[in-house]
Formats: sequence, C-alpha cells, structure tokens
Amino acid sequence: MPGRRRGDVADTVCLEVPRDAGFLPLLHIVLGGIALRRSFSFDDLDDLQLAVDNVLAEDVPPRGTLSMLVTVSEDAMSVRLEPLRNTDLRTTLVQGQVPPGAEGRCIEICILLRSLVDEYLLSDLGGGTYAVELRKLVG
Amino acid sequence: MDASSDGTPGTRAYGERLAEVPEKELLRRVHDERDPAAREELITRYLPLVRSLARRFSSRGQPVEDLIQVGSIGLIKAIDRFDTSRGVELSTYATPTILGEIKRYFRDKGWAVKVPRALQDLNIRLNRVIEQLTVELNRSPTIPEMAKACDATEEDVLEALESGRAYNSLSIFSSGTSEDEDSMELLDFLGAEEREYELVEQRRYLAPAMERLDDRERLILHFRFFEGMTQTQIATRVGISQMHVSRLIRKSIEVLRQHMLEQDQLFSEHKET
Repeated sequence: MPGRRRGDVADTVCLEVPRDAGFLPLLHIVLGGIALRRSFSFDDLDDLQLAVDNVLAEDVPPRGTLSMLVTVSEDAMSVRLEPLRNTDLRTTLVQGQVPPGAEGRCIEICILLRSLVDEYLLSDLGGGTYAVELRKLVG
Repeated sequence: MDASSDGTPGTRAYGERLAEVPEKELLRRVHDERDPAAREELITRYLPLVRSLARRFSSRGQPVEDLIQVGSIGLIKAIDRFDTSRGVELSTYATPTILGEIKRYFRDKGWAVKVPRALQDLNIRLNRVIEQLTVELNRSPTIPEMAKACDATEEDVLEALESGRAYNSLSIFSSGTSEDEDSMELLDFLGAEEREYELVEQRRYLAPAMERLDDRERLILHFRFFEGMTQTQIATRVGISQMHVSRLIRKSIEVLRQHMLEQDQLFSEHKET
C-alpha cells in the first residue's frame, strides 16, 4: 500500500488477486480507499468500479491472477488491469465497436466505457496478453 | 382439591378462566407476576391481528405462515415492552411493533450474503445521506463528506457501500418499497422520454436484449449510456436514489450480458449444425 499521505501529488497502488469474481469486492474497496484520498465523488467512484467490473466480465474465461495497478494524481485516477487474454474484447476495444458478425452477442463494452471513464487505453504485453488502462478525471 | 380445577396458575382451569380476564389485568399479571399463562392468553387474543397484518404482505414472495411467525415475535415484544402506565391500548402499541418486525424481516431477507446489521443500517442511512448531500452540495458527495454526515469512518462507508451490492436485487424490485412505488408513478409521466428512447431501441442489435428489461431500466440505461447523464442526474430525473440507480444499472447490464451469452451459445450451436 502507498506510503504517501493524503493530499500528496501522486500515488501508485498495486494489488494482485486471483481471477475470481469473489475478489471484486476487494478491488472495489481498494479503489474506494484510494478515491477518498482525492476529491472523487461517489458517482465517479461507482463509474470507475463499474468500468473495472465490465472489463473483467468480458475477459472470459478468467485465468491465473489479476494485477490491478491504481495511480492517482491531482486530477485523475487510473486503473490498469493485466494480464487480459480475451481476443474478442481486445478487438472490440481496438476497433471501438463490436466486431462485424458479433453484434448482439457481445455487450457493447466501448459504449459503456465511453460513458463510465474519460479514457481507456490498451497496451500489448506479449504472449497474447494485454493490459487495459481506465482513466477517470476528478470532478 | 384437584389441581386441575383449583384456578392455580399453571393449571388447565386457570388457563380456561383467563379467557374471561380483562386485557389490562392480563398485562398486569405479565409485568408484575411474570405470569406465562397470562402472556400466552394475550398472544392468543392478538394472533388474529398478526395474521391480518401478515396478509398485507402476502404478495411479496414470502409464505404468509412465515410472516405470521415473524409478526408473532413482534407481538411478543409488544406485550413484554408494553407500559401499562401510558394509558394506551395494547393494540395501538402492538400494531406498529408487529409491522416493524415484518418489515425488518423483508429488509434482512433482501441481503443475499450475510452482512453485519451495523453495515446494513449504515448502507440504508447512506442512501438518505447521499440524497441529502446531493441536494445541499448540488453535486455527488465524496466519501469523506458521506462519512462525516453519517458520523462514521470513511472505511465503514466504503464497506457499507460495497455491502449494498450484496443486496438481493429481487427484494429491491419486488413491489412494495416506497421508492419503487414513487418512481413507477413518475414513469407514467415519462412518455416523451420513452419516445426518445424508442429511437435508441431501434438499434437492431440491442433491441432483443433490451426487451428483457423493464421500462424504467431501459430508460436509465438510455440516460446513462446514450444521454451521458450522471447517476445523480438520473436519480433526480427518475425520482429514485442514486444508490438505487447504481444497482439498476448493474443489474441491467448483467441481464444484457446474460442475453448476449445465450445468443452466443445459440450462434455457436447453429454454426456447428
């Protein structure tokens, strides 16, 4: 957990948990604990938590461990989730929409993320895995 | 003398005679003499009231017999706590106590996992506090603001918010919560929003999944993901709390996801054949 005090410029927290839905509440609590170090509203916190839930829900089947890296700065909170493996999710996030032919069979994750966070980025980790970073501005 | 006919407390004759004893005298015996037979007689007399109150909740998915059991606990509490010096009838005191016990039962049944009572209570308080602070501050409150308003720690607030997600959505959506009743009335006035929503529903791919949601859920999803409204704004518009909006959004997305999964399975099976 971070060694800085509330109000310091930036903090990074890394949490590693098994890929099991039972650990979602723990991720939420950690996000909440960090959010309260900044002026995050309940609205914004809930949006960020929902965004995390939905990205993870689309990364099926869940395997191994999940690393959640949370960075807070004066004006934003970023959550990086890795490693993710689902290729449909990856294609959808890269293209910004559900791939042709898969409509009606995939939740429109991009529509959700565009409403819930200010920015989402995808970066390759190699070996067929990738990371998704969700960024939410304060206020 | 035969013990069964001497009118001594604990005997059958005593029990039979109690049926003619005035209520106030029975209450006096319960409180002054701790007479279990007098207590039993009062319970018997008031069971019809318990049954009548329990039946009011018969449409909420719980067996009426269970509700009568729960209501009976409320009745016993009312008898034991009744203050004879206050000059009111037992029925006046017992009715809200029985109702309170039944309502508490429904509230507790709503929690899908075991959540400590203190957290459940804090979650319910937060529901109100969020609404109050949103009006006062004209924005969604922060966790520290919520903690201060509830006189709780920030960690407790976070835990209570998280525990609220364990709340069984079925109980939230079942008929009877005042919040639902209010908002359903409000929905009657949302014709214009509905028409607006229909344009979005024409999105071919979403439409079948959206049919699984009720009008309000579709409307809320539309507001949040197509109109870009915040939860706070939706709460004000629809007339329910922000926490309720949050739960409905989560539940609705889950319903959509489930539908998509089923479609995907059908698609895979069709492809194989």
